[in-house]
Amino acid sequence: MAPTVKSELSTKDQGTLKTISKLFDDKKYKKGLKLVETFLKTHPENVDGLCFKSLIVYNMSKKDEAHDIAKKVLRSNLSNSMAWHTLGFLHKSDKNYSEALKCFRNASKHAKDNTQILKDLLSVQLYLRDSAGLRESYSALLHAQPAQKGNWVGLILAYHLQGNYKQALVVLDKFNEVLDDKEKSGVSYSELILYKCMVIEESGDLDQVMQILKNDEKLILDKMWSKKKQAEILMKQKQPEKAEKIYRDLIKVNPDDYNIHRKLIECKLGVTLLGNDMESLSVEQVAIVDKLYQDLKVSYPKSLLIQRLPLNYLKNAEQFRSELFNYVKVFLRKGIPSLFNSLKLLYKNPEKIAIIESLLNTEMESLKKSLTFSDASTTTTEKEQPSTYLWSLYFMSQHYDQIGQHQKSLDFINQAISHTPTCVDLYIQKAKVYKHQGDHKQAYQEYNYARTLDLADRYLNTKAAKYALRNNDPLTADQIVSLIKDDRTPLVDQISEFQCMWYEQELGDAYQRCGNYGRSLKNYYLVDRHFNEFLEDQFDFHHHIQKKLTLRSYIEFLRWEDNVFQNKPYTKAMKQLIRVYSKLINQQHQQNFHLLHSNQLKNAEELENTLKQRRELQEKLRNESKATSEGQPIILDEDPNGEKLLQDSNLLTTAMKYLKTLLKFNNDSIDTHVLACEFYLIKKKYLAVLKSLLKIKQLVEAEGQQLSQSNVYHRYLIKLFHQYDSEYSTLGAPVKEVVDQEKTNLLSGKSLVDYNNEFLKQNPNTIAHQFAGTQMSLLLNPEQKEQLSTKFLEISNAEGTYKDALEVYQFLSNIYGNEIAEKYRVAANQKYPLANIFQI
Amino acid sequence: MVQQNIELGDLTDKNIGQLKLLNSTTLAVTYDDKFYQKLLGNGFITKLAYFNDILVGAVSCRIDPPTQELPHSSLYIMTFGVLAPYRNLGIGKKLLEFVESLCLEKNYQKISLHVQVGSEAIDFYKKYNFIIESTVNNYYRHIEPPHCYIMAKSIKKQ
Repeated sequence: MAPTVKSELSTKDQGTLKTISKLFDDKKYKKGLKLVETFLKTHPENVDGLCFKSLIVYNMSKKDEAHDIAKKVLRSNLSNSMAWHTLGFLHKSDKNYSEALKCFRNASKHAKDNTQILKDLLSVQLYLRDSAGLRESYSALLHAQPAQKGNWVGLILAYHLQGNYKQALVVLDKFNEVLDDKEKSGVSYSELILYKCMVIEESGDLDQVMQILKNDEKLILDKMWSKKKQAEILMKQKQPEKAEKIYRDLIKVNPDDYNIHRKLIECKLGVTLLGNDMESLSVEQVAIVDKLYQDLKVSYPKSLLIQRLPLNYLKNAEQFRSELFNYVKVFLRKGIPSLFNSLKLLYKNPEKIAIIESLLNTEMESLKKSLTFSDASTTTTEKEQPSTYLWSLYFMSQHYDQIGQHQKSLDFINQAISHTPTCVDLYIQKAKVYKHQGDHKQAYQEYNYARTLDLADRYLNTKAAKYALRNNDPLTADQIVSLIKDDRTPLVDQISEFQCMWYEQELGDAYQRCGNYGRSLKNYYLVDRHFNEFLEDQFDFHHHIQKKLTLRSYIEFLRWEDNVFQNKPYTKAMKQLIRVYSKLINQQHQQNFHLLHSNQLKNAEELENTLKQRRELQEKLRNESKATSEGQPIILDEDPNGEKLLQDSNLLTTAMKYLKTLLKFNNDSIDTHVLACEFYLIKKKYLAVLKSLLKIKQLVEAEGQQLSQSNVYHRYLIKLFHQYDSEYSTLGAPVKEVVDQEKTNLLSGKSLVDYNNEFLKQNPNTIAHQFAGTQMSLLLNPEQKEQLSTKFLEISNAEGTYKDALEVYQFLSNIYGNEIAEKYRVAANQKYPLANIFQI
Repeated sequence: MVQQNIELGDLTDKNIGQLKLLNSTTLAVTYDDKFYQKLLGNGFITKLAYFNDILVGAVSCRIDPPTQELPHSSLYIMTFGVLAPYRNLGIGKKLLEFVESLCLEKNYQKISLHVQVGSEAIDFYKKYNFIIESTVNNYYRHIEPPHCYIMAKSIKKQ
């Protein structure tokens, strides 16, 4: 930061200020502080001196003192830009951006031609998406420095973000005029043209985009993008034949791009395909698509994607079988372990599953017998490779795991292991089977064995850590990831430095399962912190982009940032965070809340010792850095176990904050609305519950599920109207009017008890449904608690996964206590012998 | 039929677990961890064979210094094995060829080894011109039969 040199100071004093400024820039805060304090003795009211002192002490972690100084200076110098700028700087560093914006704006007002202030101002404006303010700032900056390319670019961006395409294009054209001829080629210029296309396309003038893409073809270097865009526009302009030609050209370049194939099919059929699903095509449509792909298969015999695509749409069993055979042969011969994953999509269709099973069984048997496929002539001496048989066993194990037959799955993987024990993938598959059956202990052991076979494989190392966490064993996980940590900075919390969110998620989940809610929350909050760091990343990108002119990517990046909280790692962690809060809130109401005995941290004592030692080392490092270095001090987490988070006096409000983010950014998720129903029921906001219930209804129906078969919808329907009825007299007329009407609609006039009994009758064989229905019976008739316990215990006979059974078990141990829960556990243990949670 | 893909690789401290597993599957004798740690040091040579990227065979040798009878260093094969389903595919041959070329390169003039009496490996070595030099009775302690042959092959530069 440059001092605003005052004329009344002597040359020597001005020199001192410059030295201070230099020391500050070089992060030599201790020396800087000494010098500025000496300086202030003779000039106690000097604005620059005080501002530097404020900035220096801020960087020495004395934030409050810094703010006090800055505010004091400002109070007596309200029209001093340096004073405003300084306070703005402090706010920006505190991530208090709206306050920073105000300060920078004032600073700029009192120093109109100070470009540094303008730059600080506009970076905050951009962050806050204040596009009108951003435009003003860039106008001013461009006026002051018209030769700077970045200022032109900034102004164009500002207009674009405002949605003022016309002005954006006007400035863009003017910018084009000021460029030299030698600047009108190369990557940067190509990017500028494509950016122009983007703006024009958003303004709706598709014809003009087409024209530019054709006219400037030689200048445009991103040929693929240009072609894709042209095809896309042709599709919009209802010229599928022309679009098809382009897509065929693109397939020539890369025959394995699924998106291009999808577009090609859409061209051919004149429809938009939903998701990856081609099952819904009609017989006629399949015939058209199949003709296309029979030809493509001849043209591109090596493209695995083109070989596989017919499997997605084919309806005829014979044809499907023969295509599948050819496809499977290639993969088994080459030994590509991903064969199963590439077919996984087909497992939605029971007929296809049956064909896969019978075909692979036949081939596996044939390979076992004679090491040939079943279509080999009996006289042939040409054998397949032994690994082909191995991969057929591997596939069979994956197949049976997928359809829930774990014993068969284990048999096949064990056969594979005795055939080729050195194949690492086999142990990974074995671990998966155990994991899917809830035997996390054995799953970890298998995975860790795979890891020891190839210690150099980072994937195996990290995944083994994940399996350890699933086994509630943070200590082991920590030891494994420690192997791949950076050795130079030992033991300082690198996982969060790496923004390694899957680890934080799994660690949070493990602590949650084991009832350590403080540490669980801490880890979910780390994920939250990383996403906020992603938002901060915008500041770094901004400078870079103006030099490179890659504005298309930049705009896309800004739009991604706008929706950064939509990303799955975020929503997943926040859902878990809210669930912990829900448990904490309920714990206050429920006396007999307790954990299942199997959910205990493994190696707990040793874990605590390790964490304690690490903490001590961190403290030591911090003290050393305090004593010696000048740079940023090491900041220690004051609440490593999250105890302060648990003492939050308003858990509900805290949770609501994150729930609202989910409702905004993850509104199409049933889980989000389940949480919303839970929390709004606590808050007695019946309209909000109703809104979420209707959203659940919509999402269930969109998935093609019958409403009468949705246990989630059923549970919250009953919960809502039951609680609503019991509070009816306290509610206002406007609420009643809306809810009453929907209630009649949704229940078709039936009583809650009748409606619930019907649900139980309609879904007699599945754990999830019987559990939801019986739970609601208890809610509606709490006096029948005794009789209903038998009902609950009978659920163990119904169909479902161990996870479904676990929910019942958890519920019983909370509501009915140990005796009943234990009966259920014994039954569940017989049914799911591998699941650790039902073992003693 | 797809072209077979046999490749040779080296032993590292990271993949030693795989060698251990391979040997425990293919050999009658079990070796302790000390043995495997020794393999990484000087004076020992190990080569791993991969079939379509899966480890299916390995050979470990010790370099013996010159003696009075043998004026040059020689190689002693300590372990040599290929997983059963992958035999007769040229994997053992490739490993043996590696060992012989190494001898030529470093001027080791003899390869020798112990093989259990009755083992099917005897025919394999014979095919590659190893000869039975002598018989050692009660060489093995925990396996039946406990006797073995010493087989050897002289390597001479052409």
